[in-house]
Amino acid sequence: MDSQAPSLKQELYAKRETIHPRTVTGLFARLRVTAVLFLLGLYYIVPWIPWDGRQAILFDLPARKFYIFGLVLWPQDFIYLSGLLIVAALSLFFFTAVAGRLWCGYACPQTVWTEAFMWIERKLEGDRNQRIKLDKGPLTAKKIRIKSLKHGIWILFSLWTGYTFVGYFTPIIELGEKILSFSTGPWETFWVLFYGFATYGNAGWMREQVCIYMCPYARFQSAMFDRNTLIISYDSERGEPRGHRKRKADPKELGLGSCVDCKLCVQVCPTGIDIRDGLQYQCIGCAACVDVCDQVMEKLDYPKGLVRYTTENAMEHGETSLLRPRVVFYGLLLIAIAAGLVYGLANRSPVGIDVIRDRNVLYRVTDEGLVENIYILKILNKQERDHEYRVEVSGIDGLQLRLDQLASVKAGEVAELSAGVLIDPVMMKKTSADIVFSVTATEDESISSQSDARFIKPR
Amino acid sequence: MIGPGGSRKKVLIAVLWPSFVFAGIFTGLLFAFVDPFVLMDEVGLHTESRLAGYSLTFLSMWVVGILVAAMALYIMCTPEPGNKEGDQV
Repeated sequence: MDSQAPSLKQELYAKRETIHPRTVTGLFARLRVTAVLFLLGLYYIVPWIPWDGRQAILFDLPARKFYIFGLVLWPQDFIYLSGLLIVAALSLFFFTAVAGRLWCGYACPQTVWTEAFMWIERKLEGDRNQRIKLDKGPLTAKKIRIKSLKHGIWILFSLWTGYTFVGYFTPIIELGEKILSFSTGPWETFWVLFYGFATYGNAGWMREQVCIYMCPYARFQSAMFDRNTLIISYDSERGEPRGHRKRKADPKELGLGSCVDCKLCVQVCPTGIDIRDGLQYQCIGCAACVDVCDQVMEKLDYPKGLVRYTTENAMEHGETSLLRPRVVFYGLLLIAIAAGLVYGLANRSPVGIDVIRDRNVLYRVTDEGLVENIYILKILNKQERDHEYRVEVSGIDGLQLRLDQLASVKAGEVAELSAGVLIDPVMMKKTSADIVFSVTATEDESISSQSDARFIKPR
Repeated sequence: MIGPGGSRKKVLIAVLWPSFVFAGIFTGLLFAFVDPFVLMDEVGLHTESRLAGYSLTFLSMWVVGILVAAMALYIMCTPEPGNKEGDQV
């Protein structure tokens, strides 16, 4: 692949030409704008919602605590977070199997921010033709003014996005105050700028290239597809042979199909493909071509739906079935894991206990002839108020517990205490046995948890 | 270096992006089990905030990921020995 053999050079990817999608109106455009406004609103507003004197949703990384409204999750609750991620992934699979790339067309952050950035671009530079003209035209004062204004607004918007992003991980009001007084920490500054830069780069410059070259979902989503999955497709049976014609002309007489070859479907496409070439992995399922083609069909008094949401089966005059093994499987799995997650969260113990055996001594024998094992108890108070706990040990008859301090733990903290467990060796038949430590809040019996440990005595 | 596909930007994406995702997942998993303060103390960096611990770990893992991805691409791009015509990979 060196420069001396240009004839051998394989160009698998053509040089990217900037895509200037034409503005589109219609049912699906309205749906997308609604989704975009809703999701952007959610993103920018959520960190400002207060709850109990704190941020309602705060993934407080500096304190290693996740607040989700009334719920406080600890690093020990990692399982719930991974459960949540599994539910999210399965939902994506489920919706992909049923309705194709709904996620890409309406909900993906890349789509959402690109839409917002393109809206700004359209307001300043005009629609497709004006933008193409501006880009091709010479560098005039007006062009410089428009372009710098556009990038200026994009950068401000991106910085606000970066600020909001960091505001999910560290209290947003304090962060704002720090920014206003130029006293943010180096890493807070770094991440605001980093996320801002990523937004600006991805939504301003990269756009469809993120979907085509970077997105793993775009590559594997076809694995979830089958012949009954909703796709956007051009009805070539009805459309071909395509060709220009006068508005009143009868296509049958001219030997033409319904497609007037106006190329509007190509012009509105944010990834710059021609839907008439068939299903392509670059298609993000945004339905812009559906909207624009329907308008053309309406003008010509042709039936709508030359480009439409359909399924492969329907295109081949077959029946589309919604309940397929694949959909049922994803659906059941999704319900099962979501139910497990809700059950787990609802029954989550507000106290946690970890027991670690003392590593230095296996056991020691006291002057009274008792065998003692030493343990470190880590008691985690997951609630937002202080608690005192009763510690008990069970598992073998005649166990005695010796604690060096009271088990009182402040709200949201971990207390470490050393515990000695003693037993008369005649009470134990084997040389080792399982014992159970349990903690119970003194003023509320329902708050309790337990953990297993091993007790060892000499032979 | 020109990678598969012949575009410099594609090479950059292939090196920077998967390593970024890897670093993110790795950092998330690691700190679900380890307190960044403890980790930073272990490696002898006494940081003032946990944010520094997360960030330094993430960025160093990103660098590791970049090296791995770059090496993988480099191996992919090396022509077969004896094939002077330069069959493309």
